[in-house]
Amino acid sequence: MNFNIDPLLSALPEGRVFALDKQTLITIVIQLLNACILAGILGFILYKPVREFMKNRTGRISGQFNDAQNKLTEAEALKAEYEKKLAEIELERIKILEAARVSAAEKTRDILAEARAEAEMFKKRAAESIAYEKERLQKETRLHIIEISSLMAAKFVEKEIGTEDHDRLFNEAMAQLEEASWLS
Amino acid sequence: MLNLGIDNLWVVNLFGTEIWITRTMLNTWIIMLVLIVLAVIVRIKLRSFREIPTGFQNAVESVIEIFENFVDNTLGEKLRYLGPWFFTVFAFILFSNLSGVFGLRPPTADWGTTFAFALATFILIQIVGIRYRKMDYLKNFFYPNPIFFPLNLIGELARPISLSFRLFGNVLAGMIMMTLIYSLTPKLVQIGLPVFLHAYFDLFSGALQTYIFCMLSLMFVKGASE
Amino acid sequence: MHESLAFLLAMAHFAAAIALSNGIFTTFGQGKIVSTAIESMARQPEAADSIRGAMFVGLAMAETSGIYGLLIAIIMLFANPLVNIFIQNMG
Repeated sequence: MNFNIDPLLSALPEGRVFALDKQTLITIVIQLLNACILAGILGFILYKPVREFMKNRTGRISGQFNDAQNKLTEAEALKAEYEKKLAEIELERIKILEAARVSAAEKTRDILAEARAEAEMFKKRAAESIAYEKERLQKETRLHIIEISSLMAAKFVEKEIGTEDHDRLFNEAMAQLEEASWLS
Repeated sequence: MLNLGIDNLWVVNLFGTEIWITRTMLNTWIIMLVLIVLAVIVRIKLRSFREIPTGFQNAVESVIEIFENFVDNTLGEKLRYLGPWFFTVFAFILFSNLSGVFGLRPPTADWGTTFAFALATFILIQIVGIRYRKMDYLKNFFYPNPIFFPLNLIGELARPISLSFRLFGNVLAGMIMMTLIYSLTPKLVQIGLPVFLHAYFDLFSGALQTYIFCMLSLMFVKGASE
Repeated sequence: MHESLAFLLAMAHFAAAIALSNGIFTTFGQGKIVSTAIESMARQPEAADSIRGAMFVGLAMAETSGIYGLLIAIIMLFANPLVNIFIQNMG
């Protein structure tokens, strides 16, 4: 058998797939440099600005959110305060009403008492005037009776009896009348 | 025809050292340009952003916010400043995994790229560990017994290697599958079928591997900090 | 010399195939992870999101050995150090 090596050797590919020599080392160094350059450029142009932008936006949005939250709590506090005040006002109103009622009741009592006192006074005065009137009338009536009876007695005496009998009779009649009139 | 390798486009001589400008680097720069242009567009549009987001602003904000929450939940508050770095890692790996759809060779299908990111994670782990736990972190290497030091060291060093090879292997496997399909099947089959394969190998697998890479990096860094 | 090189290349391809066969066990492990995760999701649908996240991370971890196999296969096929040594010594 006679092999010809030259076609075999020339059929070997130009480049290489894998080798461990100086050129591979140089490739490694160059690729490492490339990677570092690329990392620098991408980091500064793309990664950091976008991250910065997103962080800023997150900060802004969370700031706005916090603001809204703060305002909400403030409003809540205000609302609670107003509600408290409203409740106080209600209480105040009830108190005032109560006081008014009390004072009104007092006044009513006073007025009633006054009215009662006045009525009492009127009554007393009326009773006094009635008593006075009664006395006067009794006195008048007594005088009238005395007059009439003395007239009747004079006429009667003139007819039948003397002066002694007349006087005794008169006195008796007088006493009887007086008693009767006082009693009535 | 069947070209799986990384083409060598130019050779630059710098201080007597040969530096190959490979397709990986070119594609990396294309993806960087796309990302930077996107970032500049967002930056310009940021001025007209409003309180209530709409359309484009919504998309940008949700992307950044989801990522920030992801980082915050995994890393915690005190490591928040690492967010831009992981965002860059995420965006770059995602875009480079998806670049297979547009016919570019994904930069992550080169071990140099994935190891660069894994190395960055490794350096971050050490820095964060030493900064937040000081001697406690270094004592961890001698944890049960000083005899275990080599074992712990290997375990620590295996992290970036497994991290880088996982991403590299997945993306490379997808790329090899796609290249094989494009170069071995007749042209007639290439009209509709590759769409599904692209959807699986580039979109699904790419996004998943990106997520896993970032997730594991975050977990390692977080683990180092506490 | 040519025969030896051909043998070396053939062996490299065999080695790549054998290295990739660890995908069998990786896949079994991943299937186990997914089935357990789905069981737990069915049992606790409210924890589905966190279980899914843990599942993906677990899948990635379990995939590591498969990826190492793929890596070895790729080294065998594309960056076989033995071939270079052989060509340098013989050619």
